[in-house]
Amino acid sequence: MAGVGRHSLRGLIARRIAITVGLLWIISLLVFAATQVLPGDTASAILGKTATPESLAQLRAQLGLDRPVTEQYLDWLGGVVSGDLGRSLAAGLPVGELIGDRVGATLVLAAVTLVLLVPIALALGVLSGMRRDGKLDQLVSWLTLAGVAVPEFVTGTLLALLLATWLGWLPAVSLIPPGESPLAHPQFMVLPVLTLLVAGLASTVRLVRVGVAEAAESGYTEMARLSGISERRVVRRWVLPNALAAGVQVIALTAQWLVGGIVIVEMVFQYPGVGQTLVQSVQSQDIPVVQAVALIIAAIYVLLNLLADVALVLLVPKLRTRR
Amino acid sequence: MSDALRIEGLCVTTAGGEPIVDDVALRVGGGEIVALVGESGSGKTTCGLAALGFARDGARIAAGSIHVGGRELLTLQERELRGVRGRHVSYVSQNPDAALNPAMRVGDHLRELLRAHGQPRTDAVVAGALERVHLPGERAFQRRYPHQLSGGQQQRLAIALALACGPTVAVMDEPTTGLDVVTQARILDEVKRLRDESDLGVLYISHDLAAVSSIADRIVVMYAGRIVEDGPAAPLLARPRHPYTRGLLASVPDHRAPRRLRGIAGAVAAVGERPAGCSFAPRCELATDACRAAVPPLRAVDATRSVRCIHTAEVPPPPAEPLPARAQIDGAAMLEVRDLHVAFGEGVVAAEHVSFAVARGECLALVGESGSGKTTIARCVAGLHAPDRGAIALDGAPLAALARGRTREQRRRLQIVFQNPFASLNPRERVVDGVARPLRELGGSRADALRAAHEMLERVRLPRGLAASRPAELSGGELQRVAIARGLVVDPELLLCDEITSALDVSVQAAVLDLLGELRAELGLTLLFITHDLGVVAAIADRVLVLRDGCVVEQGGVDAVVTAPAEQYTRTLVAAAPSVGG
Amino acid sequence: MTDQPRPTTDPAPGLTRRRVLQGSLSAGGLILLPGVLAACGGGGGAVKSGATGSPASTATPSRGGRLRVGHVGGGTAETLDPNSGIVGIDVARARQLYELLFDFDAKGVPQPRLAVSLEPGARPDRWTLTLRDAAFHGGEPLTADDVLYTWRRIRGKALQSANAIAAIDLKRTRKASATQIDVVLSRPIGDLASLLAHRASFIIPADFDDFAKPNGTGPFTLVSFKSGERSLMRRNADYWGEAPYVDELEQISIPDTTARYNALQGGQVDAIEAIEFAQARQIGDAGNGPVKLVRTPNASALPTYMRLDDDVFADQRVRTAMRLAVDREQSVQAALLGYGSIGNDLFGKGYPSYADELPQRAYDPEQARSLLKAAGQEGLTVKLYTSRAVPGMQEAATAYKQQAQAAGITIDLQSVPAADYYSERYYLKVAFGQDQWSGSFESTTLDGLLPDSGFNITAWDDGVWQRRFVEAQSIVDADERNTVYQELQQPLYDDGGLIVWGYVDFLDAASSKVGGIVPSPLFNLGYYEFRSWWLG
Repeated sequence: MAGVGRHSLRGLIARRIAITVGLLWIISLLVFAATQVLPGDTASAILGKTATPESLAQLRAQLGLDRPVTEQYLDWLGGVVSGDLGRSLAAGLPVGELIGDRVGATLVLAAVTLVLLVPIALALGVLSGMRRDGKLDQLVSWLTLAGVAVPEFVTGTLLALLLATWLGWLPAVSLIPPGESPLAHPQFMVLPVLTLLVAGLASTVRLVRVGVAEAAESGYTEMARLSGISERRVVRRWVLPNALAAGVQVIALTAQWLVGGIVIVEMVFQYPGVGQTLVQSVQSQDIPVVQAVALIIAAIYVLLNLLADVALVLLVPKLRTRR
Repeated sequence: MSDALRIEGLCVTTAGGEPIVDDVALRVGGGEIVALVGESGSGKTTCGLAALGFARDGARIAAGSIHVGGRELLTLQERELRGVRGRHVSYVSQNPDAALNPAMRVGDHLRELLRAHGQPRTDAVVAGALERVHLPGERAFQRRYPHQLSGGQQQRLAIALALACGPTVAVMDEPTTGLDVVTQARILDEVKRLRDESDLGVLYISHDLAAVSSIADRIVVMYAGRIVEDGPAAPLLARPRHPYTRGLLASVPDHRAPRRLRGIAGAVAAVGERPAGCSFAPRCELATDACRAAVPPLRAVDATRSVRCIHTAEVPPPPAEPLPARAQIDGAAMLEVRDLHVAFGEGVVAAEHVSFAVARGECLALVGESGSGKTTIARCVAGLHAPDRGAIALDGAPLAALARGRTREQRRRLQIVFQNPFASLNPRERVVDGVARPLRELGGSRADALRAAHEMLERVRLPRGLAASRPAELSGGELQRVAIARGLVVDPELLLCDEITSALDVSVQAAVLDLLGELRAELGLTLLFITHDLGVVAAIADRVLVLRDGCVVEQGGVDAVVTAPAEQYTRTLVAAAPSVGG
Repeated sequence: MTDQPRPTTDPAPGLTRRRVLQGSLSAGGLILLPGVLAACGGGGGAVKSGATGSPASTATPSRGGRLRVGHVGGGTAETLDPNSGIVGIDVARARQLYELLFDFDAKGVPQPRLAVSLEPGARPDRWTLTLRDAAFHGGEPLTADDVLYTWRRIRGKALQSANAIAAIDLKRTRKASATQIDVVLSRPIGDLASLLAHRASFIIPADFDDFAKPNGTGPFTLVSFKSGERSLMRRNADYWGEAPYVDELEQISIPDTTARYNALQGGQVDAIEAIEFAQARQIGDAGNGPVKLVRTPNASALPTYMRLDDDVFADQRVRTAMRLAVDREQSVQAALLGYGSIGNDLFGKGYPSYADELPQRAYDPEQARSLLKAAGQEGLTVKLYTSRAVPGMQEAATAYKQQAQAAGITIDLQSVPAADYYSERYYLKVAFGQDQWSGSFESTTLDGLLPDSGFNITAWDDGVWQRRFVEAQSIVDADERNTVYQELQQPLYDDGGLIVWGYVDFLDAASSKVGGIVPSPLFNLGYYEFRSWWLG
């Protein structure tokens, strides 16, 4: 029955971080293993089908592919830990140099999307959740159902058709000059962000709405009303704090979805981000780039989870404090 | 005595116009505790909420008037109503855990309320409100969250909230359900004290006649949305004038005056399916055509009592059938548990040095509060949990710790019935198939298993037509019968019953206990009966084992333990357990 | 195998294309490019004017502006090394910054570029190469040393064009003067100019190795480059030849077909390469508003191949039956939406060496049936490996399956994921499969029909025929050489293992304000000759 367990809270967060580090290690294993089982090894990918056994052996030795897999893995992992992601086979440049700008561009796209998405989703979710089955709720339900049902690339293509090809208001393709920040060219961000918003809002609003409705229909909210608390106060002090847990999880989920959705949107709009790089380097079997991008994406994913977990623990008294 | 609360002609209907509560009139005087009693579905909570001018989604107050301290609520605007709620009339709900905001600290609950009603909300005021219900007023406690409180503390906090603004009347809806008997007794004392200290009127809603008998000044009995009897507590309990009140009374187990329990046949009709005329007529032995023709009026039978029954003169006194003699069996132990020890994680001991034996044909009750280890012991016996230490033997043969290590024959001989029958039945399967399943698993043919299942369902008096129903279509009492049939269908010798009646209404509980008693006699069953209710123990068991914190406190014949408990803890338990006669 | 890295509509096949191409580097075979066209009229020739739409607005060349071109791109594999580029966009960039000694014109004829002349000696194993008076971007004049350095680099590092110039004996070849080289070959070759026109044999200055700062003789100089994204070039003010019309050239990698098309539609680029059949249809031959179709007929052949060493296909009658069981017109419509033409079981249609007097084989299921009966293979069942690796391939296989039913042939389709089709697991391992080839008879023969060919998909193994071909290569006179080449196609027509049912067009698109596009069978977008393009 201790009060707020500061010590245990720190322990809890430390434990989550430890789990995250472990997860990242497992992911590094999986990423490495996955790139090992791709059809054909890197050497045969480079040499093509007319490779002779001799030229293959020579190239394998050159690339260090003839060493034991565990050694290759440890080497790679050691590099990753010290910030060296290896060299691209296709470009011959350090991977970090190659994808640095692109990781940044993707993060900018994700951040702008989230900054717009979170408040809109929360507002719509709260408004429709508080008045379940009201007119606004039904409208939101229909719109979000449509948004959930239509895949991102269709949404993107339709938006491009409407806003770029027909109306000519926006550029159809995000041709951001190399080396420049996407933020310096907002006109190129509108369509990608809009596409991600349409797709992301749908599921986010629906989930927020469920969380809000659950809190709004709970026994404690009824009790607050029976105690003569004003409706505004009920929403602020009873509904929202309790819907927050669901909200945080929903936003984390949305952010994680975004990681995948961005890959598609980047292809559709030619946005110079890391998703595009991933697709291209998988096609050209540029294994070091694939490994690096996959690891970065997985790490973002896991870190988002960690953030959501920690935020949840900090926001929900029941998790923060001990009985 | 001025009226703290006066309800007249109250009708609450569904959105479709079906009455949930019909023509209810109630008065609670200042400083008076009026108990509103009825089984689930009687409309008592709807009445309680209506006292605050509130109806839940899907219901609306269609007619009537509600006066609180001379203020008519039903003509008020929503904003004005807010000023009355929590200030002049307050509400304590059944489940404090659900009614308290999990994201709000103890002190903030009070502060929010005081703020809403424009009252000072200094630390001293908040501390005072807490201390009034014997909660610590200190800052550390105010900073706790609801989940950091015990069930009893949560309910005290709920009561503190209800009383914080000095209301005229408080509606308390089953405030002690779900609490241990000892805690329940303390809360009831608290309510009485608070009523005595102020001029507070209390509308105390409960399904438990025994619990209200100790505090109520007056008792109002509801059935199917209508008041059927209303009168001062003592005479009403001593001599009920409505067949339903009498039936309820006959159903209430009482450890101080053990007698055979008689349930009320049938079940409460749901809203919208209530019969014309007297709602109780379908379940009433006295019913005549006149009862079914029109709703009987609520008539005064003397200066203080009114009854809604045209046969009130014929209602017999409550039955006092003696229990069949308790078995005194000294034969060899059928089930023997020796030195059982179970611990969960760090330092949580569920059972320690627990030893007992159950003789063939005997009913042994394991009784204790929640956390006493009784369910863990039952799970060990059933082979669902492996004890850390100890031995369990059936007819002298040691049983493997887990069920899967036991022989098929051993498993057949020992069956278990759980508190929640719904969870143990497949929702998509006909109940008769569910009952037949254990037989099929023991290798019986489908036809034989179904025949045996039908027979067994008849034995547990499940109406014949219900055998083909799905679990969701049955009432709680019917489901528990099905679960018992499922336990009995393989012809076991020992039936383990884990709190099988604690989720049932008293009238249904009585019928299930009565049935078990009969089946014992018919089948020569041995029972190991787990319960928290001493009244239930008295009604069915031969011997009792009192558990506390995983240890056996006391054991012996039921009569001896209940009338002359040897241990302090048992004495507390016996004293705290509600009793109509008490 | 295809001779050029043709940008495809789908990035995934692009990969296989690249891999196949990389393979051809290490293949032992000599890669020859289209021979000298003796006389080739427009009609039925390799090249028809394909840029459609109203020429009126763009008829008059005008100067200035920035030309923006959307390419398929090659991600991080894109390079500025002109001798190593393997993706289409690499070739497209190198052609602006550097130049070849000879370059194919839009008709497939090698024309002198950095060379002024190439004269044979007494025997065609010795040639005299004379260089033009030109200068690199850095101001250094072009000399024989630069050419020799380039050749040594290409051969020494086994780069793209190493096989094309493999016959040059670098030990005995020497500089005759600052602008003249005595070229010695290891064997007589009549058509050296085509070899020197190989797409990646761009001349770099001697001892040059900083490819990030390109230094060529080309019509444009580099301003900026980011691999996988875009490059910007400016007109080379000191260019020796006719200066480009546009001031600036921006080349942008847009791998996604729809995105590329949208970029053109939205006016973000002026031209794009490799559009889909459906997009071509949407534009239409007459153009659609601000966008016109750039169509190059007969660009590459889509063969179905049979291995001659297979038990079933070893019988010539079976092979002929399979060739008669395909309805070529219908396949062109069904698989290519009409963006192609029918084939006659031979490669190199439209080139001067093509044997176009051979009778067009037609759909004749009855004849096929009786041939199979004679071969004892009535009701033949065969398994055809297909995939979506090349647009139209799988559709063609499906059409063939239905067409062949009339001849009593059951074709079971075995569909292979696009990314796997050209992997070592399938390619060259199956008896009955599909492929895509382009180039003349002689260049495709080098790749596919000789003992050291890397891509002998039909297992052609006729020693006498192969000797005759090598002899024909040494004929200097183009007409004479082509006559022998045409004769050599008769046995392939009769006994070969190819079912060349059709040729697919290159399909590109441009803004209707772009003028000067001359489609070429060698590459998309008129072999990227951007110096002759203008913005109207």
